[in-house]
Amino acid sequence: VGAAEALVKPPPFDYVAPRTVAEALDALAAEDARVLAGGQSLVPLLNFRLARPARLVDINGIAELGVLRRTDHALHIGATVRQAAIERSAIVARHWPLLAQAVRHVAHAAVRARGTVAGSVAHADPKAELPVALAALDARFHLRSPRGARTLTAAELFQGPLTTAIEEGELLERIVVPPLPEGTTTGFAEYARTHGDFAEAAVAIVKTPDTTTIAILGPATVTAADPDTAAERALALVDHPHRSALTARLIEEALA
Amino acid sequence: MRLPMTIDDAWHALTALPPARGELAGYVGTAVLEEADDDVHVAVFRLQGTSGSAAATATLTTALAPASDGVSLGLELDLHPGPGSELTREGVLAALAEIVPAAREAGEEAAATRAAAAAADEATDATRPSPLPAPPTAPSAGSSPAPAWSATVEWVEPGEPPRVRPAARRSTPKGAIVAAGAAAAVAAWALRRRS
Repeated sequence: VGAAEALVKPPPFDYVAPRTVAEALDALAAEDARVLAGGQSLVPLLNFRLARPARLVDINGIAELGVLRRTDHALHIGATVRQAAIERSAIVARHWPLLAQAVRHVAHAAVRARGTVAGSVAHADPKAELPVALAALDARFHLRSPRGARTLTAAELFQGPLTTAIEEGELLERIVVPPLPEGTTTGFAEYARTHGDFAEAAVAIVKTPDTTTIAILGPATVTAADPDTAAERALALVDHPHRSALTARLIEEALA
Repeated sequence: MRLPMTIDDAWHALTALPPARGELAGYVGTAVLEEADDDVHVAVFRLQGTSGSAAATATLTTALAPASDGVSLGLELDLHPGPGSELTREGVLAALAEIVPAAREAGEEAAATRAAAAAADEATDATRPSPLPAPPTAPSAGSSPAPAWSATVEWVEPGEPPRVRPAARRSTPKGAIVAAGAAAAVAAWALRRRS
């Protein structure tokens, strides 16, 4: 370790702060470049030197990515929208209360103040709450790179623990949540060992007049015509007896 | 407050305002568009600022509605003055009312820049995701002062939706938002741009 490198926790990296999405995509085209948004996952990884990107592309200066927007009845969550913005949003509270319910379980206020919704998605921690809620809401994930743009469902995006379909040089530009049908009710419940910790078990439920969708940690989602069938199928996806019992209890609580 | 323009023009101008830093009612701070509801023309700005050792934070909700002679602009300010702050809601709203014309001009300019940039982008970038609605884009580099928002914006402890004052936020040690009004900062920004 050189003298200069020993002065700080993270390994050396180039830092780029683009002002437009096009500039960000150019910067991300470099080898081993990573996006820096809220930094609540990436910075600890850097400080422990578990991540050693050659370049950090700080997208916080791109104004358009920081706005939470409702357009044509759909919610558009830009890449740098803070979790706290979701929590205090009147739009979310009125039209997508499930997100407001879920985000209150995410860590602590200080983390939510900096952490982004898209960052939580891109990190894909299998115990994170927001991916579960977004999966239940049938959100679409808009990715963009110099090669083009594509839109994925939760099932397509999340490929496993800490693993997504986001490719090198690709930016999760926006998450779009469709409107909920009239008469829809939602619920979110989780069990964590301590307040603010990652969930041991969590469920998000979207109950429309015609169907019930249940998402569990992972995330994994099932939809059925009636709540009992949906619950049965969701529990079949849980592979641990202890977690299965917890999940069953949470489904009951969220459906109540 | 009435604006002699169409609601679409006013909305585009309002939501095209980039993050800004400026001075209002004696406070220096930042204003950032946090959320925009295109369906009902309601936008929420997050403000924060300091004056000496005092600090304040605020949420400014703006609502546009068609009126017989143009557009009516409604402002709702949720002010959270920190310890030592003498900022008042009335003072901020009065300052905001004074700067609306300058802010409007800045927004119109930003909207025009955005439209030009979007047109250029469409012409040259075949990979742009067309199905997405177009959110306001920041003016291209060089056309506006750098907002330096990551360095200056301190996100205060979150709580309830904007119209409900969260008790926890009042006791935050950071305290502070600049209720120096979104537009205040925007106005100063607009004036600085012209200088």
